[in-house]
Amino acid sequence: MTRHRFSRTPQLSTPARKRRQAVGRLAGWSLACAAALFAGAAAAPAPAHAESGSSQALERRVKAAFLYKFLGYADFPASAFADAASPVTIGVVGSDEMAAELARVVAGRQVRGRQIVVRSLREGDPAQVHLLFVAGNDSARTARILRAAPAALLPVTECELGLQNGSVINFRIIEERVRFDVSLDSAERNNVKLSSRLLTVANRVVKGNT
Amino acid sequence: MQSRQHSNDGGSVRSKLIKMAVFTTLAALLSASIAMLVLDLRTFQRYWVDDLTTQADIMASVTAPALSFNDAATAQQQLAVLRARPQILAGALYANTGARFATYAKAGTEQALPPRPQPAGYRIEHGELEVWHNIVENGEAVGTVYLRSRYGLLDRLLNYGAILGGVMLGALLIAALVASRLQAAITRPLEAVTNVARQVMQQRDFTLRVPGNNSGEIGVLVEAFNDMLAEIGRRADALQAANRTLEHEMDVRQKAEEALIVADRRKDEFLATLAHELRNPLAPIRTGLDILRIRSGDAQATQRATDIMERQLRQMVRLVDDLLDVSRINTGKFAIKMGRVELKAVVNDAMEVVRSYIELHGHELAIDLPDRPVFLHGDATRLAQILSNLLNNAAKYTNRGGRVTLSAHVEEKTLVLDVSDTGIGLAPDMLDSVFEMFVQVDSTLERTNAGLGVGLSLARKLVELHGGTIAASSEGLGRGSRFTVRLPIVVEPELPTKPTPAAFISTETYRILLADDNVDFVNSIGALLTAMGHSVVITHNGPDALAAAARFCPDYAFLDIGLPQMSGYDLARGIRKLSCGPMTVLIAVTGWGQEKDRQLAFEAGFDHHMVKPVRFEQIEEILGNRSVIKKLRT
Repeated sequence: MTRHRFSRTPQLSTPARKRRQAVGRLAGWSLACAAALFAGAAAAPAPAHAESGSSQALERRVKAAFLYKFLGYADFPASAFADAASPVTIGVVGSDEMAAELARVVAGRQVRGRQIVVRSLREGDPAQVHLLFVAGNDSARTARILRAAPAALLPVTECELGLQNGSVINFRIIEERVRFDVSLDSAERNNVKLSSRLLTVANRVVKGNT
Repeated sequence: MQSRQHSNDGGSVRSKLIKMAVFTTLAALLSASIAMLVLDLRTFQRYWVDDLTTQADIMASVTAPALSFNDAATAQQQLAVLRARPQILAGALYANTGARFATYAKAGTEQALPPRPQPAGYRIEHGELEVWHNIVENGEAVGTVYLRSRYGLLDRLLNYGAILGGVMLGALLIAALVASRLQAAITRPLEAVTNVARQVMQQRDFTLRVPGNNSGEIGVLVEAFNDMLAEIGRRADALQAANRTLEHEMDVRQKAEEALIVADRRKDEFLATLAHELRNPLAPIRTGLDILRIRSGDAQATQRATDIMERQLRQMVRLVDDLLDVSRINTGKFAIKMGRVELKAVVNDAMEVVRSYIELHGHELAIDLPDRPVFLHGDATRLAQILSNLLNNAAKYTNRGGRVTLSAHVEEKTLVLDVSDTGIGLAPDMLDSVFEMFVQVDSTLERTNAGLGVGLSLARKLVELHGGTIAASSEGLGRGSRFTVRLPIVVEPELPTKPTPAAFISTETYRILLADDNVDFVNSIGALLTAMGHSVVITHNGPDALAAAARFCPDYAFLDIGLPQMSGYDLARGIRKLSCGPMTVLIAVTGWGQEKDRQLAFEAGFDHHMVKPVRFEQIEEILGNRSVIKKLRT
């Protein structure tokens, strides 16, 4: 029945609303699936899955996995690394849980031959990182942090106006599923190239500040 | 008609050659086609597998982010792109948890999808090809893609097979065409050979030849065939010639056989006649003997009986003499003593023999000879025999009181002797055959004096021996016949040596020894000689004769060869060894007249050889030559 429905979906440029509607039906098991998927992919065991039944923990784990995966689709300029052996640095502001989760995800993994390092940052810490995740729904705060860390190459936010504040990728929860929007202008400004394959799964791709 | 029938025949060389070419081509094409087909199908399968694998790879690459970021809707849309490939029937994405993430089915079809992912690879089942491909993103397996497509192997096979079949058919057609063109080089000469062979069998004409000038084995075959025909022709001709020769020989042999049968019949007739002829004189002789016995006192009757007996005996002796002569001539042992002979002497001699016979028949005899002497080259005795035979014949075949004429005249160097009579004559068809042995005018004729048919035959042979000819003529039956003899004349001057007339020496008397175990014969001769005044001693065996010779010293000794106790030859040798032996004239008297016997006698020392029965005249003749012999001895 569902398959039938999907097969009728004509093309990729279907209006987002309609898609969202279709996806929504699957949201419950989708999140669970994704969680399982990422848990499986993660190096650490997944006691959290069982113990923290809360959707918040689940959301955090999905986002952590997404963050790690974004690295695979992002092409940083060569000047961003001191040398070929320099690690890729991820900075997490405002959520130690996220930082811990992320550290667990990236443990033992590499991106394009580089080690991945996760740092938990405080607001105002100098943010010399490749990927900067700003946790929290507070758009103003997020904007402030982003302004304070102009060196962050790939800022990722999870607030309402993340993209307008200069973020490149902004997480959204759509129909109980973790999705993300992408601002190509911000990426261009930071001299970071995002893979078009990433864009195919983005919720929304924004070009120009709207 | 026949050729066409021939060409339709499956066994003909032409069709075999075409078949050969077609099947060879077929075998080559078939093997090539199968190889191509196998290769193509393998390539085809590889292509399809590769193609679908590539498709799966592309799908994997495209859908990796969707899987990574758990975007089933996007994945679904991305899978939907597969509709651009109609051969792909179904597709599915599986997360690495094993859950089915997104699916695709060809529009308008219901497709069953495996619930769980399977290891990477491909599988061909039920004419469908399915491929499992791992999705790896940033070095991590994020899921599995599954694609299933139609596998058009059978279609491919059918298409390819149809094309190959068409090509093969065309190729075979071309091969058949080419073969039918090329086979003519082989079949045409063969056909020519076959046709000629058939013609030869039908017409029996071995002069036919296969035309054309071929090279190679066919040429050799044609040439050999032609040579064979020539050989057969030659043999057939030779066989026919041999047949003809055989037929001719058969004819000759059949004729010879017929001749033999005729000769055999004649011989039987001859034997019958001979017996009759020999028997005939015996009756009068017996009568004469009876007369002598009963009426020995009657001098007149005795004389008449003696005359009859003598005449009959002479006739009989003469008959046997003729037979012996004919036999000698036939066996080539007859020798004539050639010499100068005067015609009148010959006629006189002949007259001596036949006069009494002619007179007995009451014929009138007329003789007309040339006045001057006519000399012939021949044997006086034999010439006389010719005449006497002819005269005897004339007398025999003329009814009592007829006329027999002997006339002679000279034509250039030929003496013409005519013996004519007024007798029964000859039928025209008998004119030549009367001279043949044992032929008589009429074998059924019951004439008292029917002859043996020997006389004329002998006469002709004797004439021929003298280089002359003899011919018979007659004006018809009952109108008499005429025999004409032509003999060459010798015109040389007469030699003076003429034998002394017997009249002179008959007055001389000799001592004569007679030795013969035939008592009657020897006694009668002895009595005659004694009557003539000679001294005669008679013995009946060899030793007596030798003893008598030693004692008696005879001038003449007449010795039988077949004496008891000692043969005549041994006796002669014995006498020659006696003191007076060399002077004795030895005469062999024998029943064997062959040349061989004569030779044996002369070797044993005999001077003369006489064949029984001996006529007294012969003895007188020998006694008359005494002086000559004496001269030779000394």
